[in-house]
Amino acid sequence: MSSLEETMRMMHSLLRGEKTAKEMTEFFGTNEKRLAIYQRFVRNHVVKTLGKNYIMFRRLVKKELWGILSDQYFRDYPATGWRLNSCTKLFVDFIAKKVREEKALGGEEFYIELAQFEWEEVIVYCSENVIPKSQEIANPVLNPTLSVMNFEYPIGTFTMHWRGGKRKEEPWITSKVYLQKQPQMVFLLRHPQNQKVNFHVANDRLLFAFKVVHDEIDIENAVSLSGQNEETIRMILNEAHQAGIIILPENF
Amino acid sequence: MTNYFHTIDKKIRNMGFGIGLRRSHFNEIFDNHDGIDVLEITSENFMKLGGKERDVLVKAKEHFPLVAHGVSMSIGGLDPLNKEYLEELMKLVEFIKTPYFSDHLSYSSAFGVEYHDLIPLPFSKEAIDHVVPRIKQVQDMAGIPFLIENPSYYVEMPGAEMKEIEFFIEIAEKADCGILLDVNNVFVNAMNHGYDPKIYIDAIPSERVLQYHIAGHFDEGEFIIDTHGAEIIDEVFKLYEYAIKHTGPVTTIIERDFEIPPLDVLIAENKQVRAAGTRALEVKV
Repeated sequence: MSSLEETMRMMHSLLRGEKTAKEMTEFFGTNEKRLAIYQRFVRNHVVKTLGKNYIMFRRLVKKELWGILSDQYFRDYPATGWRLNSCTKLFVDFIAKKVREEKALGGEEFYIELAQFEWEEVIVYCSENVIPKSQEIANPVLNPTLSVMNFEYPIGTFTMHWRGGKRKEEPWITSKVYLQKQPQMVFLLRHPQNQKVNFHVANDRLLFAFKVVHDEIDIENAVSLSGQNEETIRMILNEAHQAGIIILPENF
Repeated sequence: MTNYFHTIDKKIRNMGFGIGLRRSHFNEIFDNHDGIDVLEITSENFMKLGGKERDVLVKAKEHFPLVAHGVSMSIGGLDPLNKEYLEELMKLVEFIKTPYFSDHLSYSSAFGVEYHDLIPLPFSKEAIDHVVPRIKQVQDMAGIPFLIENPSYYVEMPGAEMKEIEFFIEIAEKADCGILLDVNNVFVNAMNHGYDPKIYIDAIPSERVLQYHIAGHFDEGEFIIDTHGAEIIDEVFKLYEYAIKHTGPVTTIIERDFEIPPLDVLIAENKQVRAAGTRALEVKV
């Protein structure tokens, strides 16, 4: 009689795709179709979560290549965390390896950064950090879900075009301008108003507001350091507050 | 020995009829919940998460009694129970003040790999001896009753020494835990493995049943699959009525995880479940 461990080992081989359902019919004493249900379910959990978490990447590389990549990922990177999302964490490493070592995807590093961005969106969405309400703070603070990402490629611009709704007609996308290096800093955050994940490509005003709050510079010092008047500085900080990058106190 | 499941009083045993809290209903459930007495939380969907999920959970516990139901404990797995998972689960259990918590009598990980699916155990004495102390461990950790759910299965694992129902009951009794009886799973398993679902229900120790699940499934022809992605069929409603006659009124949750319909559709289905439960308890003169 099979021991518990032996049964589980055989099931493991089936679920990991090391053995086919057909090869396992004798041990399990059942038909191929029933065994295939389990193979399909386990694989689909990973592949579907991958497709959900890397939705731009998936659509950009098209169906056939995505199928190959997701199959290889499932095979080479077994899920180890109880959280379903965590089974897709190493996709970034997987893509980096494919691009750098195997020169897949034309060897374009853009794809690695796109995967990094999409994974970071998952992290920000799931962040346990609680965003304080304006009435709960005495001084401006950074949004605790904020992630600041530096890219060599225009990931923020790409995402704006891609999600703008007309990606198939957008020349910037269709002519693959995104593959040209253009360093870009992106603020990624969960917005305090609706808890949705948002991003902003950094500009001088947002960066200034970020620095003022990050370095805990008071208004008086911000005026003297920047040469801007107080009204302008307050306006800039308010813009960053509206964007969700910083949280201002109630009566700021 | 601590008889946790005996600590449940009648009010908790019958909190009424409800559904699972799903993301697609987050914006509506607090204004539109006619006939929904209780909400079930899929534990993993709210563990270690901030943002919208956390906000909704805070609001949900103000509006409804909540019960926690998990899918990733891997109570039957060979690897040690995941400490981090259990710690997070206990935080959730404490936070929502669930009167009990549940998971499936199966395993979802092995040899360090997560399957994110429910894999059946062999109906063997070895499996019983393995699972019972693990159930006691989590029940002692939480200090509230743990319920095992009868999972659906498509393959009977090699090494079976008894029937599915005997395996299920022996574990519940030896571990002294409660039962979450999934009527759809009873139906699906009975069809797929050729037994009478009523005989299965008759054998269930009624006093241990603290919650029901009822759901839809998908008929693939050669076998049926427990998808939680369709409406409940008449035969399952009838089996549910039969089960309620056996156990008396018990909290019942509709499970819908895929093809999730608008809330109004689930509210209507919940009323059908209530009607079936009420019908089952009518005294015919």
